[in-house]
Amino acid sequence: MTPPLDDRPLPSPLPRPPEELETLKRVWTAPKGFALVTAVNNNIIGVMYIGTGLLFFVLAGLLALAIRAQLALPENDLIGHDRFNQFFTSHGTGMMFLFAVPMVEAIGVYLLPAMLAARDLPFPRLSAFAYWAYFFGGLMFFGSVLFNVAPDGGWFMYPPLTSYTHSPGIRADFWLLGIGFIEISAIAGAIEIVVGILRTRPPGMTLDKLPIYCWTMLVMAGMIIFAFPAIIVSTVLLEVERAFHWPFFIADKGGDPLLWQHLFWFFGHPEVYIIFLPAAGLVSMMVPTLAQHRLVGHDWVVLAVVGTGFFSFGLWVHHMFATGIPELSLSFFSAASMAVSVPSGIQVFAWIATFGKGRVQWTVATWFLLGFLFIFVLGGLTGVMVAVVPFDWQVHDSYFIVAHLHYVLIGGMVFPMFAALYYWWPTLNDTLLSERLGRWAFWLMFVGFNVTFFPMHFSGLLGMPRRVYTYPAGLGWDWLNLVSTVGAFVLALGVLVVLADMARNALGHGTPAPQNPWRAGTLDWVPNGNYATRSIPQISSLYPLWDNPQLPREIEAGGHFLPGAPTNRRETIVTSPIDAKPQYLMPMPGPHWGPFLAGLLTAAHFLLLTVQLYWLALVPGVLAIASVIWWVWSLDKGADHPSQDIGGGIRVPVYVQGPQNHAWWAVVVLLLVDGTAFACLLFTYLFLWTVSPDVWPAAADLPSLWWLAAGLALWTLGAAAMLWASRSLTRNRHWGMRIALVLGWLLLLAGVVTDAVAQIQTGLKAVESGYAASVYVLVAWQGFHVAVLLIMTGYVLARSFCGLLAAQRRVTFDNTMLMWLYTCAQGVVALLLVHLFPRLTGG
Amino acid sequence: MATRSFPGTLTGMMAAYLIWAVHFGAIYGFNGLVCARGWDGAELLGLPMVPVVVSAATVAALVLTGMVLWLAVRGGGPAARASEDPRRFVRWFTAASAGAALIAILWNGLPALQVTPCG
Repeated sequence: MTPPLDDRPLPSPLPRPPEELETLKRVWTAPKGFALVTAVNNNIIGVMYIGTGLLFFVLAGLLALAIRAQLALPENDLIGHDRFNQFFTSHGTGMMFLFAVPMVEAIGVYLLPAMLAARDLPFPRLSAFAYWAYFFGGLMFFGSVLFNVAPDGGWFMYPPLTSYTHSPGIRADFWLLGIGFIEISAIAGAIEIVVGILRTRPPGMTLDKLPIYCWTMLVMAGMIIFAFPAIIVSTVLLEVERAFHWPFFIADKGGDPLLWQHLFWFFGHPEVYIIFLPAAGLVSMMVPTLAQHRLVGHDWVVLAVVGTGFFSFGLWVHHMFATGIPELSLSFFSAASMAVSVPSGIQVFAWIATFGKGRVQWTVATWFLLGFLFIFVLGGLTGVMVAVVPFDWQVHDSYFIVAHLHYVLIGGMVFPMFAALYYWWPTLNDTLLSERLGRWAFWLMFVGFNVTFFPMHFSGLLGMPRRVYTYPAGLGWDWLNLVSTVGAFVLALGVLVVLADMARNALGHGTPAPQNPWRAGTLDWVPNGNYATRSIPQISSLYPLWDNPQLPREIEAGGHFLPGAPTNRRETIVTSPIDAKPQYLMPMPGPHWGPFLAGLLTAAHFLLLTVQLYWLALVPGVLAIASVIWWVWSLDKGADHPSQDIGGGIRVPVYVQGPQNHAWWAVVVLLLVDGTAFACLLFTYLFLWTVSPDVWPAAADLPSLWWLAAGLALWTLGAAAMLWASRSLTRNRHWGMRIALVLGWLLLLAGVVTDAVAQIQTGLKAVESGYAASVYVLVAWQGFHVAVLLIMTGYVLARSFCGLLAAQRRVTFDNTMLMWLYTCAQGVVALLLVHLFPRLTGG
Repeated sequence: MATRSFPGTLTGMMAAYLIWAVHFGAIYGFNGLVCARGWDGAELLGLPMVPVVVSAATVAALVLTGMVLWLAVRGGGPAARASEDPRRFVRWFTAASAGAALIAILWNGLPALQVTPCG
């Protein structure tokens, strides 16, 4: 018999009225049948996201098996060189962009609200859109393999190989457009995660009580914000070079192929940690539970995670050690590459110490974690080896690197993922996966992995280059390759056993799991439903379930905050970012067709662009934007209810404006992404000037300074018009606001036109030089922003005319204002660079 | 007392790592430019320019990071603005990250004294 709860005071007095739970269930009901595609609940989107990630993992894995079959024997011609090139490119691209990054975000979408006891992430429809864009985009990408049009330039797509001269046709475009737009989905996920972790924590979960997984996700999202714009910009530049022959990467015209490598690896190396850190976060959650001991050195692990996030941005050139970069520059990156192993080492020692101090439960998850430690440490050690420049020169682009990167990525991410699958599976359907099958899977994967990749260290040291489709006999590579191929199939068998275990469980053969089967101490093990936890607890420690064993029952009985749905709709508590004090009750959107349609139509838009049906591509493009507008139209509700009692004597408003609002935060995060992309364009200009000053014009050939003055005036007046509109709205002078917005947008348009005409009238042509291309791309970037602002301004005006905008209901307006003012500032910086830099440097 | 200004607190906590990032970007960019323009033989105050400039930048970054550490140890910086609950953590994190950044900045700056700039 369950003992009664202690008589300690709780935020909401017990027992709760029975209709409260009914209302909660009703408002959070998920759609069924085909309408499931309209679902936005994180526990549904998260599961679909994870499932799709696994599907793409299997597809990319099948390509790997084909690669290994081709390489099993010397002089083999099983799939031929053309298909081999497509397969290894699609394998690497698929694993990195369509499996690893989306999977860590997917796990976050599924787990974060539970760990934070939030009802959902703050932008559920954005999550749904990110998922559907990823789903359709991923299918489109893998579909290119079936139609023999898959990209074949390697997963990092170096020009000049991938530019229009050496890669005509649409294969490279599948990579550039397909992956480029999937990154948009990753950025959407990052915005969701940052705002979710910082603003939807339970009361009392101050920064020092934030679970370690949330720290890693926060750092990961921060890294996406500052790393992914580089890949988006580089894909845009290469696509523009391919389509319009603007020579960013053509050395003869003052471009430089190394520009691509800098931009790609500025993204590409942090990408490794974007994948690893969330996995490390999962490990830091599982190890304490499986050892039944608090994580040793928790604060040090947080320090290490944040430090890794920063240091990982100082490593990109270690992928370019063989490109002729100056020796001292290489030494800076060599030093940083060695330094980054220290924070990873801190985490490894913390995990080992926690296992050592606790009483270990020997489950499948434990085995996968031990496998992870073994493999990842080996990968880390070879990482330090290749951080040493002379050693790297010896093994660069050899199978040694293939071995190293697989030890790091499979060890650092895939093994923790399988551990997590077995560990958190009970939260999905209250059953356990099979311990017996799980152990079989682990040993097959562990042995298979090492048999596959360990010999590659030797084939690399013996000189076997990566990406060759075959090799002559007698070089000492034969048996090593054969062994690797056998290992790959053993590894695949292990994955197959896991899939069989999941299928067996889904068919109803799983063992019923007790509540909190591993006796964890964190909130993700509190019983929950579509509405997440019944009430949102007051938190006072890192392991609340260990410190208060009756907390799950208190929560389930509705004794904590927000035990119902007081405004009769979906909602969650927004708290302050450091102190986690309740600030307001955020209404949350329910199911909608918009995200699904927008995802589908966006994919269609990019697919049509890829196959060069440009005019036709406009149709799904416009419809995708319409779908987004349809879904956001109902979100800015205003203060349609009075302040609500959420428990503990706390009353909070249902609507706030300005910097406290979660949408304001999202736009600021978006602008950080935007600003980083702009910084990458500035880098493009400055980098090309560094390597090819000869194509930079003399001062006499530049537009006169009057053009600069006119541009500056227009961007400044544009910003002033927005401030005037804002002031008018504050006073509820609607016509003043509308006129200011229209006039202001015309000023912005005039700004872009002025910037473009200033360059055109000098006779400058973008196809002529790297200089011209880098100038015009800045103008085009500004033009893109003004076009976006046209949509946003139109949207604000439409809401104004519909009576949905006022001084007391202006979140929509504020979002537009932030983007608008940023665009003006960006325009000023670009103008100053383009007009003054050549003059100051002597042109 | 509630913590004031999240951006301010966050920037304060990350100050040391941000200094590391600026220092790293500056010395890398500087050396790249020097080598691209063929200035590696240039001198400053009679000494080779690159080691002098990189070392000066390193010392400046170390001094700034040391100030962050000193402030944090004395209970100032972002911790002074934090409420009671997270104050210990904010203070510890700021100080510990400053300690880590001191080592990282020194580690990154040292090659300038040992390696030819444009070899």
